[in-house]
Amino acid sequence: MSQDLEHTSPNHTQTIAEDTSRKNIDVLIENIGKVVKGHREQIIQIITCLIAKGHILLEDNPGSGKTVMAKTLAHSLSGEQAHSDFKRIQFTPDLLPMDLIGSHLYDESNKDFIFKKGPLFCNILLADEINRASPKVQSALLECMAENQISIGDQTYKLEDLFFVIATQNPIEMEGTYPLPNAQLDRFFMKISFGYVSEDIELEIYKKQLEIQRSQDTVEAVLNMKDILALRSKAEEVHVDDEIIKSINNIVRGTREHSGIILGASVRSGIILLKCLRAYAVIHKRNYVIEDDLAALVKPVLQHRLLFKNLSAEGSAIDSIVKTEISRLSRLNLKK
Amino acid sequence: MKKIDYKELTLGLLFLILPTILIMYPLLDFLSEYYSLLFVNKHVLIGVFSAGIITAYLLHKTKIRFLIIFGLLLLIINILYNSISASSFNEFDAYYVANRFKINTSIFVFGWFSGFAISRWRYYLIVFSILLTTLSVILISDMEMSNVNEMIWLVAPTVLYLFYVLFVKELLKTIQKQEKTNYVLVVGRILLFSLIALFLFWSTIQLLDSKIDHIQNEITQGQSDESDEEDSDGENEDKDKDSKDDDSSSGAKFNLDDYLGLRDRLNVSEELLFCANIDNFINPTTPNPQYITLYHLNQYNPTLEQFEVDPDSIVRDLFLPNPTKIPQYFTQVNDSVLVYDKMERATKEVKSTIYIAGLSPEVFVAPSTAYACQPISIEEEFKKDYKFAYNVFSEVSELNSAYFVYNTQDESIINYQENRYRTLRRAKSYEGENERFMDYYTEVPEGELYNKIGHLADSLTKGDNTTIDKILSIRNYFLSKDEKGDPLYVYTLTPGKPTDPNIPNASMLDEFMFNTHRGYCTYFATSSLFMLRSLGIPTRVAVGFMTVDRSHKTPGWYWFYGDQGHAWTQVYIPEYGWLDFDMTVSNTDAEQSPQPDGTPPTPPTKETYVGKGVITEVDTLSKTMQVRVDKMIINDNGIALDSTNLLDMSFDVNQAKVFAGEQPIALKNVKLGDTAVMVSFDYKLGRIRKKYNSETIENYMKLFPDPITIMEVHVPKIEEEKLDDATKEEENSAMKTITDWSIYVLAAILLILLVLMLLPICYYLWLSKKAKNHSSITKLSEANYKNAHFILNQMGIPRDHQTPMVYARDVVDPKFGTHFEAFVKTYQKLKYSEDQLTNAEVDLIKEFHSDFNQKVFSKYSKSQRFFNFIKPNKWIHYMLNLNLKK
Repeated sequence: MSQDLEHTSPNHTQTIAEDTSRKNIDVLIENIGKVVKGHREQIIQIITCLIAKGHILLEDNPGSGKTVMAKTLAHSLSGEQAHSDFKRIQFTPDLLPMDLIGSHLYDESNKDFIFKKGPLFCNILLADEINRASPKVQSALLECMAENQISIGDQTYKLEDLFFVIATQNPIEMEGTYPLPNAQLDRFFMKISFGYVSEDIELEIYKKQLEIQRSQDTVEAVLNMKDILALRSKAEEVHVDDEIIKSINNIVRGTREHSGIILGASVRSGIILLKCLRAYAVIHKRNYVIEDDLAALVKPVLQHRLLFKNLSAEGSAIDSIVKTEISRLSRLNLKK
Repeated sequence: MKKIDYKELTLGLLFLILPTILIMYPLLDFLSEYYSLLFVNKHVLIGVFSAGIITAYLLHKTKIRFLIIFGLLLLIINILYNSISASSFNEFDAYYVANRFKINTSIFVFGWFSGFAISRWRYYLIVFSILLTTLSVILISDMEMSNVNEMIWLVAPTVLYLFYVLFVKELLKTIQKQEKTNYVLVVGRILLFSLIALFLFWSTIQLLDSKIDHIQNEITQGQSDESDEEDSDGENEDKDKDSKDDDSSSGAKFNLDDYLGLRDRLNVSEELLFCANIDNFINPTTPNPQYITLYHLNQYNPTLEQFEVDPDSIVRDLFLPNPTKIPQYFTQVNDSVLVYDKMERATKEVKSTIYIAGLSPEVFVAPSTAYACQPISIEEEFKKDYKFAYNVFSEVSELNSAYFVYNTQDESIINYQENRYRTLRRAKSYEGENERFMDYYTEVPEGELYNKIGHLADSLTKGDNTTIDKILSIRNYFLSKDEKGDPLYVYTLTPGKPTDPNIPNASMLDEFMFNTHRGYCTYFATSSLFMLRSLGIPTRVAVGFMTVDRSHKTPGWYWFYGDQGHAWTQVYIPEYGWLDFDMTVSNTDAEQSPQPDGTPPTPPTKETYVGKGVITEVDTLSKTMQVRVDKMIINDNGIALDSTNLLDMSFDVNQAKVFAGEQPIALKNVKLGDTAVMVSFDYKLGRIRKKYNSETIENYMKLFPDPITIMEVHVPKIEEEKLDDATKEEENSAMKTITDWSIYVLAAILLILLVLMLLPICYYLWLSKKAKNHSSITKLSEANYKNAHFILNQMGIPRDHQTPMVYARDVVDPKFGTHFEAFVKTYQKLKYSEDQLTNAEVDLIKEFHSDFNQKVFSKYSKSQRFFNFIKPNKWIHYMLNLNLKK
């Protein structure tokens, strides 16, 4: 589903007041899209998570562009430096929590321990192959993601205001890995996969391969941290109609009652879905949520939180629940 | 091995297998009855079927190696069958057992296959139920269905079952797959099925059509017969029409009416109508045949030249019972005819036995003057030849005889004739006879022709003093020869029309007497009637049958064929009554009938006990009947019981044959409350003394065994016929009802289709009107939204499960170049946002309708648009999936 965000119709009137940050979302998407070809949907989903103050888990085969995506996103945002603070950690079984958080080092000059910040103190963190690290490291990371702060001893270090984790995991090489438990998967707002691009786009990628190195380095920072924070506060103002809330409720409850699903969605997943919907509406320059948003987000938000009876249910269960709700919503009359 | 879904298994067992077994029950019942599967009990059959279907279903559902078990089963069955049929301990038993085994196993295998197929193939049940319906239709068309109820009982369950299967199959699938029921699919199937059902129904009607026609014919025929009866003032003549069936020999139907008048030709049939044993002999070896009289003709219509029965005849000496209405072995007597017949001298009682073959048994034929009739049974071996029999008692003049014109060589007959003429010459004159009587029987119509006849008669009888001599002179005239030596009068069945073309309405009688001299019996009878009457001799014409003694092997037995229908004159002689004088010249044909005389039926065994009464109880199991007897005949002694003292008697009807009229029927068809006649030929009862004198009837009856063994039971035919008619009419009316209903159903379906086609257009017009002008912007946009969806749906682009935005952006706008997306966006804002619409957005909504309609419609031609709009399936789809809730 590739969504055209440009509204070209002549009669259409911009419903939301002109706002540079919102205008720049399109630019941001375009900007990333220049590098990561054919994954517009995923770009929007990642930005949705970013605006919804969440984190995202990318699950796909090696070489599908996960890292490029994260890097490009980081480069497109400008922070205090030229670019936002982007860190990448390759997770391995021998990685220790300290390697992430940082550690106290003895300062010879001051005769004191000083705290050396780990890579977590950044704006955008790419946690590569998160399932290769030991549960200890995984839980340390996930705790930070949830609390947005780090406690070491009696000291608490706040993370950046804009702290966004893009974790990746490899679905095929499961040997010697520590698959994330469901409770920890729940922390990620979305779990998405890239999949293969279409033939035309793949051809294009090859053609542009020669210049990609150069272009990636020169990705322009189109948005700054303030813009993102402004978008986040905008998202909190998005109006959610009662019927939409009812639908979210129906969907969440529906997953618990569906016979193809063993473990249904939690209340928290409903809250996360609500947050994502608002962010998604902001990206689409709306200050209200419509059923299209639901149709686009329910699957990436809920799927990794549920336990299915079998593979076929995994594909169809959520679809059928969402279908029912969408048709319920689209049949509703206007409020008088 | 996969996990077994017990829920599905139970549902299938309850809702698919159980109804299938239930539906097979009546069908197997019908089948076993129809094909007389005597070897098997239907309960066993259904048990075997259910065992097969359930086992196969369970085995397949529980994923146990199905085919292998089935193969083993077949093998075992085969071995068992072979061993049973090979075992030779008792040939019949082995055959019996093997057959039963074969039927049971084939039903079992059928059940097995069904169980497997229900579990394996999704559409099997639908195919199965259609097959069942077809089978029942074939059965109906094949079977002699006695009434519509039975038919409906056979078809209705299978039809209901089909509907049931269509619904339940879909329902179960939905339950299993957690999907929404696809109503469109179900509705489509129902429609399809309705069509099939209609077709089947129609073909049933077609198959039954011939039968219905037959029934209808019978009914109309019956009605016309009835009306004829009414017209004829209770006279019998029209009944003879009944004898017209199965006459194939000559192509002509026997109809006594033909003898009533003078026609240009006479059609005769050659079928055997009845045979009679007339116990009237001149001497112990020489039989004296008597003509069989049906009725007398007293009135003559000179214009039409035909006779009519005078209902107000002053002489009522004709006994006209309906033999079929007289209870078997009981005698109906009418003494009054003996007063009217005026026979005073030389009379004797003659008993005749009539065996009816081709004639209708309702017509009473007897030698005159009959006064009593007693229906009797026919011996078993003659039942196929004769349908009815009765004894007739007549008072017959010793001087009456069929011998008048025949020139027999038999000396005793010649002597008899001489004696009879001699006696008659001594008879009294007509002086002193009742004047009215004389006037009535000597009446001659006015006219030149009748004067001419009178003159002829006068000239012929010149010199004769006595009545008999005058009669003989006239007879001699008819037998005389012309100048060339040829007979003057010739008997012919085809006298032809009058030859003189100048006289359009020339008299046939005139032609016969004074020109052609060619005619059949009625001509001779008519002309002699007027000749005798003009001489003042009371004469009448009788119609009936000429008795011809062809065979001397069986004296007293006479056979009557269709060509023996006859008309002749009867002359009244004082004190001797009416005597037959047949003036018709000899017709050699009649004496040599095409068929030889048959073997006379042996008289039936003497009945020893006859009881008549109302049936109070019929036990078909133990074959006994309880009858409240009011009349009995015990060894020829009639006992009529007092109405307050009726006897409740029980009868053993094990060996009895039950007859409704002439038709044998089954004991179970005997109705309570009917009057039954119980006949026993048990010789043991013959030993019981006839009379009971002082003792009470109860004591007398103690001499009889209890129950009395009965050989024949007779129940009334007329009521039975009426019942038949009633059932036929009922059947017919039921057929009519069914036809009517099918027309109503068809009309209703057509109407529904028409409405379904017109409704979308109406709905569109209504929406369009709303979408064009509405005060509130909310309502306007809503109407536009619905309108757009409806139009697109009818044009074959339904939204279905797409979201409105995606639908508008990806499907509609690229196709039609409309601004649907912008509209939907505004609509969504109105729906989900609390913000007010901007002026631009309001304008967008206001302008949307005309722009959108024009752009969409421009893609389709006018006819395309129309046909797209009236398609009911699209509309139903829209209503079910997209209609906006209120």
